[in-house]
Order: sequence, then structure tokens, then C-alpha cells
Amino acid sequence: MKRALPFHSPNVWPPAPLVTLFFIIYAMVVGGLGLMELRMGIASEVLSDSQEFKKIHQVILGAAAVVYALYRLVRFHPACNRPYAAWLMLSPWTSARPLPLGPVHPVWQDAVVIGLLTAMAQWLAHVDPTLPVVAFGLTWLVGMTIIMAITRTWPAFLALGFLWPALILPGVTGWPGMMIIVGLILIILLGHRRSLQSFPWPFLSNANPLAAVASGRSGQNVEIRIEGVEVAPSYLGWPNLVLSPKIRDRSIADSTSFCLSALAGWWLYCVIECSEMDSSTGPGLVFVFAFVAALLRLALYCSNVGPPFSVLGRLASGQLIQPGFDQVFLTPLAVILTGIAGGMVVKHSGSWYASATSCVFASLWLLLFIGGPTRQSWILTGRLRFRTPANQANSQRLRRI
Amino acid sequence: MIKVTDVSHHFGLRPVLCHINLDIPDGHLVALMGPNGVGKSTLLGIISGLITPAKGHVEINGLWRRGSEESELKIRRQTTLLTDHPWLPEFLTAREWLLAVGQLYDIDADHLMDHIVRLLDLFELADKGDAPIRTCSNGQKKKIAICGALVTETPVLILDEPFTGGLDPSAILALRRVLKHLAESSKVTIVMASQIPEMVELLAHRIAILSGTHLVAYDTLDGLRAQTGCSGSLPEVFEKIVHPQTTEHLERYFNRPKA
Repeated sequence: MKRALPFHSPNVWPPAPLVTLFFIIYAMVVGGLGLMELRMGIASEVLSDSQEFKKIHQVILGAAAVVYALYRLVRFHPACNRPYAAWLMLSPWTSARPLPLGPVHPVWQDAVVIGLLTAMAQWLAHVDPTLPVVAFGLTWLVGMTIIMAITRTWPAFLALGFLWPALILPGVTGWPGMMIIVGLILIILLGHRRSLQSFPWPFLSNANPLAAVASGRSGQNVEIRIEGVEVAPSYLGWPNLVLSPKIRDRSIADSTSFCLSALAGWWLYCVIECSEMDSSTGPGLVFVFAFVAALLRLALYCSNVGPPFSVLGRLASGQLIQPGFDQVFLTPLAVILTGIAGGMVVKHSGSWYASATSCVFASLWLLLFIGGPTRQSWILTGRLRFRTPANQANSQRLRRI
Repeated sequence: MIKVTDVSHHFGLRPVLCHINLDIPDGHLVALMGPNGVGKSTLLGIISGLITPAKGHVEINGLWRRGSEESELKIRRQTTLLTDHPWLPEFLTAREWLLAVGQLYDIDADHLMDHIVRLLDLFELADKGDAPIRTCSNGQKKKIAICGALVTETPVLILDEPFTGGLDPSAILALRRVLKHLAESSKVTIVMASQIPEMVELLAHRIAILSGTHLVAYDTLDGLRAQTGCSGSLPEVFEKIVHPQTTEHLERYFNRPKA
């Protein structure tokens, strides 16, 4: 059996309109430069060697590399291309086979395209020749990291989440930086394989395979919609939305909560180390975050619901504390108290303030994640009153009858 | 079976419901009646899970409302509420919306599509079924909302003023027959708030009458007649229970002594 070469695909050349557009823009810039030199009667090196003109070249070449990287992802990755994913769902394709439209991973044609841009940067534009390589590489790597999250390839995404900020740490230059980049590439390639193995991804559950051939007529739109009402969509109106027997379980596993909290702390640590933030800002930062996060969580839980009866009602009935409703205040309160205590710890942490701030920050996130009740439990068992959709953001799209 | 046990509720300082107890057997259609603002919609909201009562609890088919996540989800699968002022998505067509609602309740797609066609025909919405809901009149929107409740095929229906809101006579007749059929043939339990005594008289197995925060009567029409000693129609029985002094007031009004 003939085995396909891993770094070859005839399909991945950039499309002619994209190439034409690039050359038109570039020719206009270079031609404009020539015209200006001709009319001004000056030597050709004067304008083309000016810093401003070099910057224009850099922007054009960098943008071309970025657009090409985005094209490679959007055109060839099923996660970025819904009709493609819907068609794949109908086909006998498995992750053991190459993707039918072409590979997502870099192939030799990419080297040719980026090599061409590099050559133009070196000999035509006289700018840093690594610029197209860096722009293409960064865009592709960041795009793939986002795709890991979209396709729920969590182990790879978490590993990437820890590696990316390490690049901005002050001590990470030269070989350590190269090692991190190699690590990023390896994790992305392994994660990409893993994500293809888990196809079709959960987020595609709402997509009907017919979407690939849907012409946009209303009837077919209905076909698409009816296949997967896994949760109550917001357009269902009142009271179907709040009394729906299907609600989205947004609770996060404890292990995931711990990893995400550690990730948040690590990012903050890298940012503090990179920006050399003044230690006096740490306590304020922690407290403000705790306060805002507590309010946001409260707002998330209490949007469209209220207590079964008001403060006056509590006074009248003698039921000052309603445990079934007041439980919603416990976690925000704990977050604010932890923020105050954490701020004091950070204030007295001296030279360890970056580590202390990031640890407190991670603790706050952990508390926000694991503090009860879960949103599903709150909606289903909390002692509350659902409000009519007059205050809902989508009320414009609903009409009371 | 719906069991409302010692339910009390108040809005602020104002008590709305006090010590309400109701047992509604399977396949019964119970009509909830009472003066305006007496708490009928609040009681329906409590039964349907929109409002947690200040005191007491509701059981539906042996499951405690809001008792646990599992029981609440099971109850939601078995219960549908039609509010007196439902909100409909203006940009969807009636058919699209009904499909989405049916899908929420895991109705088989083929059966659902067939049921929607029959419902649209029944309520004379076949022409409007594929037009955006915003193009429908108020009465047509009310019909669509009723179809939305019926398409779920849940064993418990909670209906707040289903016969009001601009329904035309043929729709009222159709709804009346559907509700009667559901209760008698399909053993669907229906709790309905209504202010139309003729409809209640024709449909309800039992009538619950609320007055001044309390449930003052809960019986069959004959039982209510026996209770009040009035052999007249439901409006007369209702007046005897809720406003016993109304007849006296009327007599005094018409027979005032001449000056």
C-alpha cells in the first residue's frame, strides 16, 4: 500500500485570488515608491531605505504571513469550517486517514510560501527576514491552541496554557526559549492528532449533517435546529426557557478547577515578572479582583431570578435568613474575605510578592470555581422566583402577547 | 397526581396565599377560580416551579418540587405551564418554534412534525405556520402559545387563563374539546385558572375557589351546590361562596325606600 508523505499535499497552495491580492498591494506600494522617486528626482535608495517605508513593507509582509496562516487553519481544519465538519460527519473518514481537503500541519508548500516572503523581506524590502516566519509560526501556533480549546482537547490546551506565558519571563531567552517553542510545537502536533481522534467534537452536536447541503431555506434551517436541542435555546421564550427540562450543566470538575486556577496564577506570575510591577500594587490588585469577581458571580447567579419574597417579607414573616436563597451569597462573601486576607499577605510578602500575589489569585479562582452551589443546582433547587423576561437582554426578540 | 401541602406565600408584607392544601388526582381537570388579584396565578406559579413558596411544598407524581436536581428535572419533563402572558420569539415561524419546544421534551421527530401539522390545522393556523410569529395577530399568537403547551404531550398541564387573549369562538371550542379529551382519554392532569364559568362548568371535574388568601372551597360542582345550598348555575354558586352578601346588596340597591 502506498503511504502518503507526511509533509506533502498538493492542495495547500494559497488560492490565486489571495496571491493576486498580495502582489497587487505589494506592487502598488513598490510602484508608488518608484513613482515618488521619479517625480522627486532623488536617488532610489533614499526613500526605500527610510524607516517609514521599511515599516510599510514589514506590515505588508507580516500581514501576508498572518493571513496565510489563518487561511491554512480556516480552510483545512474541520473545527474552523462547519460545512466541512458536517460533510466529514457523513463521510467514512476516520482520524487514521489524512484530512480529505488537505493537512492542517505545516507541509513543504508552506515552506515555499513563507520562504518566498522571507526572500522578499531580505532582498526586496531590506527588512528582518525572520518576520514572515515568526508571523506565520505565531499565528498558526496561537490558532492551534485556540482550536485545542474549541475541540475540548484539555490536556494539550492546559499544557499549552502553561508554556505560552513562560515565553515572556525575563530569564527565558536563547536555548530555554527555543526549548519552550519546541515543546509548544510538539504538544500542538500531538494534541492535534488527539483532537482529530475525538471527532466529531461535542460542539458539533447542534450541527446537522444536512447543514453541508442546506440552501438556507427555512425548512432546512428547521431540520438543522431540530436535530439537537440539547439545552433550552434562548429563543424559546417565556416560560419555556426557565422551566426547560434540559439545562446546560456548566459545573466544572474539581480537577479542572484546580488546573485552571493554577493556570490563572501562573499567567499572573509571568505578567508580574515580565512587567516588573511595583509590589505596592499587589494588595490593591488582589482586592479589586476579589470584589469584582464576587459581584460578577452574584450577577451571573441572580440574573432573571430573585428571592421568593423581599426584605420586608422576611421581616413580616420572621424568616430573616432564607438558607435556600441566601446560600448564593456565601461564595462571593468568602471570595471577598479571602481577597482581603490575601491582600494583607501580599503586602507583607516582601521579595516574594510575585509568587504570593499569584498564589492568592489562584486561590480566589479556585474558590470561585468550587464554591457552591453549582449553577445547575441553584437553578433547579434554590428557593427562588423566576422573573419574567422584561429585564432579559433578548427581550427585544421576544414579544409578550 | 399533584399534591399542594400547606402552601403559604406573601409578596412583601402582603399575604397572598395562606395554608393552601390541594390534592389533584391523575386525569382530573381542576379549575381554579376566584376574584381578581386573589393569587390564582401565584398558586399556578408555585405548582409549576416558577415561584418557591414561603412555606409548604408541592409534589407532582410523588416527586418533591425543587427537592433535588433529579426530581426537579423529572418534574420538568412531566409538566408544562402556559402563562396568561406567554412570550414568543417574533423572528421564528410558529412551526420552527413548536419544533424546538417539542424537541426540548424529547418528542420523536416524526411524531412531533405530524402533531404540529394537526395542531396548526385544528387552530386554523396552517396558513400562518410558516410565517414569522411577528406577522400574527394577538389571537393567533395566543393559539400558537396554546399549541406550544399541547405539543409537549406532558402528563401534567398547568394553564393560566387559556381561554382569554383574543381567541376566536372556534379556537375556544377546539381547546375545550382538546382539554376534555386529554383529561378523559389520555389521563392528563390539568390545572386551569379561568374566569369563564360556562367553560369551567363544562370542563372541570373539580373546582377550587380562592378568596381572600384562602382556599374556601374545593369540590365538584354538585358538591359546591350542596355546600352552599344553591341549586343554580356556577356563577350563582360562586357568588354564594365568594360574595355571600352580593344578593342582599343587589336587593337593597334595587329596592331602596322612596324618599
